[in-house]
Amino acid sequence: MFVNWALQEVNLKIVYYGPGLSGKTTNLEFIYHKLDPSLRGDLITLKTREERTLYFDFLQLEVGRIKGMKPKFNLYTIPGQVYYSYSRKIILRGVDGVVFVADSQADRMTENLDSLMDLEQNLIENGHSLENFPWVLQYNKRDLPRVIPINELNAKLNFHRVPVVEAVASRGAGVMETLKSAIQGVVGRVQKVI
Amino acid sequence: MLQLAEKPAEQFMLSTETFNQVNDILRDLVTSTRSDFALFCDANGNPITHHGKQHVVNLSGLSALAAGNFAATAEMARVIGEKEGFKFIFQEGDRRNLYLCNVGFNFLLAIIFDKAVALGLVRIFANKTVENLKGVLDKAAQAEKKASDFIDSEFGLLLGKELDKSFSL
Ligand SMILES: Nc1nc2c(ncn2[C@@H]2O[C@H](COP(=O)(O)OP(=O)(O)OP(=O)(O)O)[C@@H](O)[C@H]2O)c(=O)[nH]1
Ligand SMILES: [Mg+2]
Repeated sequence: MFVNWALQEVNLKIVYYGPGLSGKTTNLEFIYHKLDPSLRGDLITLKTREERTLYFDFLQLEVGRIKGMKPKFNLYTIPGQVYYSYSRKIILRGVDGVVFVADSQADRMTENLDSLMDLEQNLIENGHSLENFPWVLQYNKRDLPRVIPINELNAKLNFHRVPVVEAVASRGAGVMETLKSAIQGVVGRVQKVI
Repeated sequence: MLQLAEKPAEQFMLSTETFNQVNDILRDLVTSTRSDFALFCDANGNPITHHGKQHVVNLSGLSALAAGNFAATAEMARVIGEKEGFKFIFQEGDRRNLYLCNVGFNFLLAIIFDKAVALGLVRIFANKTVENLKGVLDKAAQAEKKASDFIDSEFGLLLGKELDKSFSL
């Protein structure tokens, strides 16, 4: 969090985490197209020729003043592919909240779990942990044929009982709900801890 | 007293007084180097303030990219065994050049200048600017107010309504 009292701005950083191809970039693209241009900046994407995130995507959102302060939300995605490990560490610096985009397909469970463990490890290096940090789970790709039932996903991934949103990010379903839930998690934690 | 420039922190509170001092320093830098533009941001990619010609529209984007670029370059230094990291990053364009350096551990300074301005001159003034900025930031106690002074349950409620409106939920 960065508070600039002269400009009365509060900057919060929210990172979309999750395994490769789970739909993190698709979330940001939908938010970008959905929001009025007066509420958001340009979408910056650093990607490979194959459209995979190479370093990060970035999008800034603003909403109207609240109690005199202007909240700004800086949304980042990480590259999910396993070998971009160092980039993920860099993007997580200064993070205030996380959206974990899980892939609901039956054959992606190992990747979801590996990515969640990787997130936990990186949060610990930043002095946080999944247990005491605001994060939400998005179960994405609910439109595909062989998806894992929600209760099974919860049993495997939601051991800290964080908010869950079902999504079809490619159609925008659940995307704004996920973001709202993540923002409220961050704001709720500020009230409790600081 | 908290040393803003060096201490890793979860929350930064920048007071109006410090902000104004930083602004003055940036103005001096742009004037004395006749640069187009100087941006001061934090190492996490939050823009703080800038001075100069307004041809850079997306300040938040520039700050995010500067922070990402700087972090990646620092890691490159480590990989090749440069323990202290690189002192600055310099990019040469057709019309304009970019100079990027860190200000202590937590902040970055980006300078955009015309090809006609000598790099040596920018370097000298950038070094001086970094020292001045560090001086101001190290003396600055974090602003008195805490985030929880204004981020209370009323703030949460109002924000929720604002998000519903903006997101048309
Ligand atoms: N069927 C379906 N496809 C989706 C959904 N969400 C995303 N996709 C597709 O999945 C592919 C990967 O999406 P990305 O958003 O690029 O994935 P990513 O998580 O950013 O991947 P990395 O950048 O490699 O980490 C794209 O072809 C998307 O169109 C969904 O809900 N349903
Ligand atoms: Mg991506």
